[in-house]
Amino acid sequence: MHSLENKLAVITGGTAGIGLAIARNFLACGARVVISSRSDHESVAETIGATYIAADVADPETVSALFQDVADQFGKIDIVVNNAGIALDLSGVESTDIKDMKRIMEINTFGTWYAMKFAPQHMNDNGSIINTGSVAGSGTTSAGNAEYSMSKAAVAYLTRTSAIELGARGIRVNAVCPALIAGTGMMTEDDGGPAARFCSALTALGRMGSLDEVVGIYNFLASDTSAFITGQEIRVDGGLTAGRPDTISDAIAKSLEI
Amino acid sequence: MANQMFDIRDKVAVVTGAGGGIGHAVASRFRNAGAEVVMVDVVDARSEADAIGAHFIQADVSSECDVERAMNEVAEKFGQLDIVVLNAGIAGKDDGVPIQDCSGESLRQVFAVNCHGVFYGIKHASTHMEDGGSIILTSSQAAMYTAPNTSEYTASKHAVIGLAKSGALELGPKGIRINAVCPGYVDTPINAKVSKVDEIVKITQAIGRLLTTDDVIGLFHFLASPESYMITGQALVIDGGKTAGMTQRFVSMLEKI
Repeated sequence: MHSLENKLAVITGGTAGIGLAIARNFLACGARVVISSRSDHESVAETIGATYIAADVADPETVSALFQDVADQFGKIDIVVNNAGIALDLSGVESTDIKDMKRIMEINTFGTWYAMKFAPQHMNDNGSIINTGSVAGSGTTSAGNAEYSMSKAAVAYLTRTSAIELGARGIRVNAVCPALIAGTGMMTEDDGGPAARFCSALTALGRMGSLDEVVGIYNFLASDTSAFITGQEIRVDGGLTAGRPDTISDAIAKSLEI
Repeated sequence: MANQMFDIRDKVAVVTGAGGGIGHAVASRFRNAGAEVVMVDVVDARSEADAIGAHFIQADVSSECDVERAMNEVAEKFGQLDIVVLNAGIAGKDDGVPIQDCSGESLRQVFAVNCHGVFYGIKHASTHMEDGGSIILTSSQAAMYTAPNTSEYTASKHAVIGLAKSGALELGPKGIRINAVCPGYVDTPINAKVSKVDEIVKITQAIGRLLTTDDVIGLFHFLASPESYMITGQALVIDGGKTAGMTQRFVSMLEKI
């Protein structure tokens, strides 16, 4: 019903966190998987039965080479997951270093744009491109998060334009926009720490998501079942963007009493 | 693992407006996936239900009594309620009519089915549902991006998204999720009046063909399955990219005007 049998998938930022979880899932569903990251992670790939090819998404030459190499070695690509990304510690624009802002734009936004430039020529028609966005760029953000938010908001609109440009080939392009997910490079375990309390207060479902809970939408979007869904930002956020649950209203009321 | 994912075997699912169109296609899909399915419609769809091994309850979703009765019957019969698809909807007698010429009667009917019906469905199903339950509302692309002379339908489908958001906030603590699906033009009876729609979509949609019920049911299945647990309060659009923006064909056509 939702088979990925024999599909060829490339996942950037595929050696840890969400990317690695997706790689494992796609392999278990019969896909051939190439994972990519900046530094040497051959062993990670070997352990799970994927192929490793190094690339720095901020460097257009290595991005171009990545997709060319995959096509040369394995044939036309069916699924591209642009997941490589970084976050910064929260800090207002006025106190953020320009070089940090440029770095996050280069990796999160330009990196995805380079993939949009170089991957489609090596893809089969009716394939699927999935970009990792964020609720911070497709929903709601916070003070101190300007650079990450704008990098991900840009990915959201790049997703739309590429969906429009590639539609004639039946290639659909969508963004998965998670909220806070435990076990990623950006978020510690659900350990009861500040991030976990933040999620339990702010989301209707009352807790952080786990890697298992975010993988399903990538799988769905990678399969032919989602052939008519394109240009979308799909939030996996436990209800964060739906509105303010009672826990927050209670907390605000309490803090005003003090 | 492909068979272990998106597993809804032995779940109990209710689908309203299941006599035809999207509702019927979703009911069949869930049945094929091994769920127990109860089809609900205001017209007699017993033979459609028999054909797929589903159950049937005749009910008018605009009547709170009917909806309460139907949900209670399902809960009593099966002892569980896992998936609820509130799909029953009408375009209304004034579909195609400008606001100035719309009648209050048509407006009331459209809201009675499309909004009150969904409201009663959420109200009376959720009391029987537990952690992991999923409620899916059929909204429409009209809730994102609409056209003139369809104000009653458009407004009603916006309201459905509001119910998904509020429902999500209230049911979240119980682990029940609720989302709205916004399909583009589907080749079903509700769109029979839209002329040349198959030509229109070639210009306006990135994926330039009419949506079929087969396209849509995959998304309902995903939202019904455990893999979508963290997705709630959302409006998911399935429209071949129309709301993403303008295609080259569209821009070229504009240049000729």
